Amino acid sequence: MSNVLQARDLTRHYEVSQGFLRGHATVKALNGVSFDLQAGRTLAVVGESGCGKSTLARQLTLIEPPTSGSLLLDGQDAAKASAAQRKAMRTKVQMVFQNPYASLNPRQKIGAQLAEPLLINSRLSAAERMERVREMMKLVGLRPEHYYRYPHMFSGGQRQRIAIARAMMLNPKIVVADEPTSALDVSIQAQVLNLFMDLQESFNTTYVFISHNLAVVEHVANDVMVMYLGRVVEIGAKDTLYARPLHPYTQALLSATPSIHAEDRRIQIKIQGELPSPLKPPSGCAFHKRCPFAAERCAQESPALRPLEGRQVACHRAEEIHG
Amino acid sequence: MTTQVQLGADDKALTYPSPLKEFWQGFSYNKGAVIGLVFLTLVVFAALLAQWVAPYSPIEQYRDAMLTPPAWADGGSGRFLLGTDEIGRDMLSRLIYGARLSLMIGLSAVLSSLIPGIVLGLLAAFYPKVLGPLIMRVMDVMMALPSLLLAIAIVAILGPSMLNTIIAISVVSLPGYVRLVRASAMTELNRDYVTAARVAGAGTLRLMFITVLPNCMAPLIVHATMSFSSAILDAAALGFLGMGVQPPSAEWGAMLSSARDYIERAWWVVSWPGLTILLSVLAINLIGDGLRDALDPKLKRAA
Repeated sequence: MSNVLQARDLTRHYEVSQGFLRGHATVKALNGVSFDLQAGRTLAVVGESGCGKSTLARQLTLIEPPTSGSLLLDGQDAAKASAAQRKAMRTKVQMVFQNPYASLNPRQKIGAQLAEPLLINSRLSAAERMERVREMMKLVGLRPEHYYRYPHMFSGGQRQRIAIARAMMLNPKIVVADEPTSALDVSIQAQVLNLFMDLQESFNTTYVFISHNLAVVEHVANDVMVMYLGRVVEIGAKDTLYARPLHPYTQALLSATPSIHAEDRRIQIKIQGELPSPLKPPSGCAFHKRCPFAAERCAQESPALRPLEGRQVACHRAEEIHG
Repeated sequence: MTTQVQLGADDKALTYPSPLKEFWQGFSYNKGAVIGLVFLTLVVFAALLAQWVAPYSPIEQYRDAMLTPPAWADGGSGRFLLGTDEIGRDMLSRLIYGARLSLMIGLSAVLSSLIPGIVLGLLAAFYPKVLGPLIMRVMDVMMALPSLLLAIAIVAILGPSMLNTIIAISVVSLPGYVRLVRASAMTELNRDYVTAARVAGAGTLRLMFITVLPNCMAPLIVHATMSFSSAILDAAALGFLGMGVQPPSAEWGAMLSSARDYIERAWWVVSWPGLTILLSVLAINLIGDGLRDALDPKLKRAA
């Protein structure tokens, strides 16, 4: 199977002002993230707020260029592409946002919003565009009369369907979904997730699914990438990772997921404290200050991702912890 | 998957009123706006057809009938319906002819500051690194100067004429528009729908004028209608200083300021132009409100 997306050592730093005459500080929002993604699969990116998930989404959708590292879309390097090539590459990656209320233009009718990607990127006539929009609306479960309505006339779930339809209009290779269900009612979440999966089946789209809801991730993902403070701490197939998490942070995340079945409840691993400031990340392993298994080595040496038991993990003591 | 859109039982739901008709539905829902529109239409028609509507020439002086009160007041005559001014010119004719100049100054001053204001404001919001601060500092300098002084300086350099008055007024009111557009465009730029349009491949021009601008229109429309009235009054102030529309041309603001000396003796000389400006401005503001509501889909009733 071919890789539609290859991220190599993606890094994104932001310069932030610390106030008058105090110079700039660098926020390392993304710190060397690498992964491959195959067509038609779903990669879930998991981590707590501020770990760089959304920054990663901005890199993948080419909204922002990475500070360093490379991004290969369909075998084409985004950094080296010409303006025309970049324009063509843009149509291959689309995005669904977290907040369906903010991601639709309040002054544009649904039909016009859905047709906009076609208007910009294709030479279809108005009638052809309308036809394509109506097909897509049917596909995501919107009624034909919704075509002339404004976003404020819809419920959250319907709006997210519209946002998904807009992302799918150009038939992209990759859809980056940034917490697409977290703003929705629980009853609607499942419908939207099923829509995502149905569309994946019919279009063979690759998803990068950003979420902090591990139950949702378990439902949709093929692969899971756990991030902590701009770094990947563990990446692997969902089943392997969920069955036997090796990194203490993954273990803590999984043990924090509530379950109604007593036998499914894992050993509780509690992590203390807050996510450290990305302005001043701790030395060595970024997680060592909160890790119950931290040793002296963890404070000095930053662990690299290494293959272990069928997945990749960035922990010095992964074997010992599970020994 | 069928490629043909099925038009069947729900034909009605698929057809939709034309944008113009839809706009009118939203606009006519606001009764005040309709009244304003009717009044303004009357004034505009009177101005356009002044030659036939006005009873006399606006500059003809009837020396035998100086400061004649309106027809229904004591000492008034049916000859001059709204009375005459200090040198015997018919007030009604002057008001009708004055509408031409006043409305023209108002409209062109608003348009010629609104359009550059929108462009500059959007540029300032879209390029916040170099171009934005540059534009904003220039606007700050213009705002720091007293507006009338700046207008006088501009007219003094260009020479007094109606065109130069319009230029002066629009230059003076430009910073307000630029600030307004920039501020609302900057808040809109951070919204997800703008990012979504970017991801869909929209270019800068499309983002500016199709994605962002319509969402900044509400405060702009209100500000534009408000500044219509201040444009007429600014033109009057310039005229009063001898730098605007030159006598004997009829212009509401100039009529108002030249009649100042007669407030105590002849109320009509100052009341009629004042009342006309007041009503026209009110009508324009009402239309502006209606326009804002009609263009805001959230305020429309569900279709």
